[in-house]
Amino acid sequence: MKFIETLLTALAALAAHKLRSFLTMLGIIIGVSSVVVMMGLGGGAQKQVEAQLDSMGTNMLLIRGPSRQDRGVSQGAGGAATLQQADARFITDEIVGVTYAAPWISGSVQVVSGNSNWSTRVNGITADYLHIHNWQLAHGQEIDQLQFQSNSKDVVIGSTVAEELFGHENPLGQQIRINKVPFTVQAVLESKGEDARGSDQDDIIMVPIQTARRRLLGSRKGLPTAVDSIWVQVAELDDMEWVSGEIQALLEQRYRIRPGSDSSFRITNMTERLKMRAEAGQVFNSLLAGVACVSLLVGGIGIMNIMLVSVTERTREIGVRLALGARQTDVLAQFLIEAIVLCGIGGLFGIGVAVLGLYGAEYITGLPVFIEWWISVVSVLFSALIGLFFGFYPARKASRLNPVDALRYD
Amino acid sequence: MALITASGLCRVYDVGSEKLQVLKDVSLSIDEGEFVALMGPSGSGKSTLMNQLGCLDRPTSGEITLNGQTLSQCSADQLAEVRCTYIGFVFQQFNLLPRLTALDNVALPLMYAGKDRKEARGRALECLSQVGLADRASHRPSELSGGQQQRVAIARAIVNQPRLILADEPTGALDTRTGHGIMELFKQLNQQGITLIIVTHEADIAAYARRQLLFRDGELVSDSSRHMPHEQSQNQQAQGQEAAA
Repeated sequence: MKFIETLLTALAALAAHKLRSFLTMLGIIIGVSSVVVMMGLGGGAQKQVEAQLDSMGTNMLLIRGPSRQDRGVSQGAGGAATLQQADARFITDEIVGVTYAAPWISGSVQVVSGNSNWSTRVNGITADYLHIHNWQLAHGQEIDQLQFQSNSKDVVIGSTVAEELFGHENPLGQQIRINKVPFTVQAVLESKGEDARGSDQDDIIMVPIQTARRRLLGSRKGLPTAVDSIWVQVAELDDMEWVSGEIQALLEQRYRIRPGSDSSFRITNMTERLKMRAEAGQVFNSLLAGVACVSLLVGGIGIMNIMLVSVTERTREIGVRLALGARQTDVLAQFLIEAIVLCGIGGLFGIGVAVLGLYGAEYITGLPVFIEWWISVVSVLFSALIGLFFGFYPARKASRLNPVDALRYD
Repeated sequence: MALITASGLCRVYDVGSEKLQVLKDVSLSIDEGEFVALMGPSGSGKSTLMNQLGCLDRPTSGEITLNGQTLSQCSADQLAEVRCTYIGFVFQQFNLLPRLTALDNVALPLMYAGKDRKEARGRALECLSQVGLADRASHRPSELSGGQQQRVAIARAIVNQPRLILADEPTGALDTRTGHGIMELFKQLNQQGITLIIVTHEADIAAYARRQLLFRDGELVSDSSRHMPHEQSQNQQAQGQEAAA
């Protein structure tokens, strides 16, 4: 029999039992839609993490001084080496594969402008810090063209600070007082939103590192060039381990520290830490998708069940068809197509339900969702495959019937 | 020339632990163009023989040759091919597919022969008009009387232009008058050159055939053409009574 005729025969058989076909399909609809919903939620969470990773900056190492704690007892500053501003330039010059190395100090300040005042964090930085952390400037300004002299009283403010101090006014060129010291607003940072821990990344102001030290935070440990830490961006992700080791070695040599001792510098791979957190989330998502797959499996078993009933019920019809010259493959194809069509259509409906559900949920709860277009195609194909798998046994059973037994069946 | 020959045909069914021998060493030969009635009381093996001849079942031992082809060596699909090309079936319970119209029921064997729908329907309509039901083409079996359903079934049996038609108690579910109408139709088909084998236990139905084979307990006990070739009609009467008894 021509394939198209077999297909029409199968469709007619499904149409003859509409309620049964629909109920069978429902198992697949629920299965496919739960898989797609799980993937959509997982994909949304993934996108969110990726966006956070991106806004954090990529391939970042953080170099800090030695831990001041030893078995819970503070050792104080004495004796331990302290990071110097010059170390940053030294690292950039000496180590291959480092894009930027930016010294950094940080502290809390009170900011006043006119009648408004706001308490926030201040970062003493160089322009490289903005590059490493992937900050962009609002109002069309470029970081490279920023007036940000090492000693100047210039300030770049985060969007939250800008809003608190100036509301809807343009803050550029305005005077603000930080801990009573007057500064000029050079630029406003593009908003980044919340970070992975949920704290506001835009509640920040940035001033040149020397200015911060001299005017705002005071020098560290009495050293005029000491910094809290150095942020490093590595050019290639694959080199991070190696670069980290090189920096460690370089600093140990420079400060004459015994390699591996407690008083050595601590280098943290920030990217890795974030990645690990993202991966933990992914494991959870895979778990949910796995549970959803089980429901798809249950739907498949439902298909098999109904196909077996259907074969038994239509044994006589199969006998007649065989007597009229149907080959085994004709009968096999007829029942297999029924199962595949049930699953395929179920899969399509499932995706429809899932997409409606997902975007409905996004609209109502604001939960981020994201579905790759190919996931829809794959899940329809996959559910058709389930039809093929679970439909095969019943269809084979039908095609293997002895014609005379099938004809006599009551 | 023999269209179909059977030699040493046996069929054994497993009924629980017992073995039930339904056909015992049956040998026969049927020529092209013959009109044969297989007779005998129920359980005599006549229907079983017909299923063997129609490739619907395989013999436990023995051999059937149809048109020079040895059936025991055929695969299931080759047997399907044989059924499709050479054989038309007519059943006691008509066995029309309830969801299809009369026309599509008749066209079904052509679909399995790989014809396309339009061509198949054209040919099916010819066959329906041959059995006098062209005006019922779009009716479903449930909308037709028993006699009409059997005519549709006959149209379905001839649609592939088979060499052989096998009819298993074709009048068994019909009243006498309708039954004779059906038999007249068979007679016409036989006159057109189609070989006919009919299973029946009614003597007056068997009388339409030119040759009667009588079965009892799985054995062929008499063959009208072999025993009394010149006194066929008397022989028919005699065997008919025997069968009725």
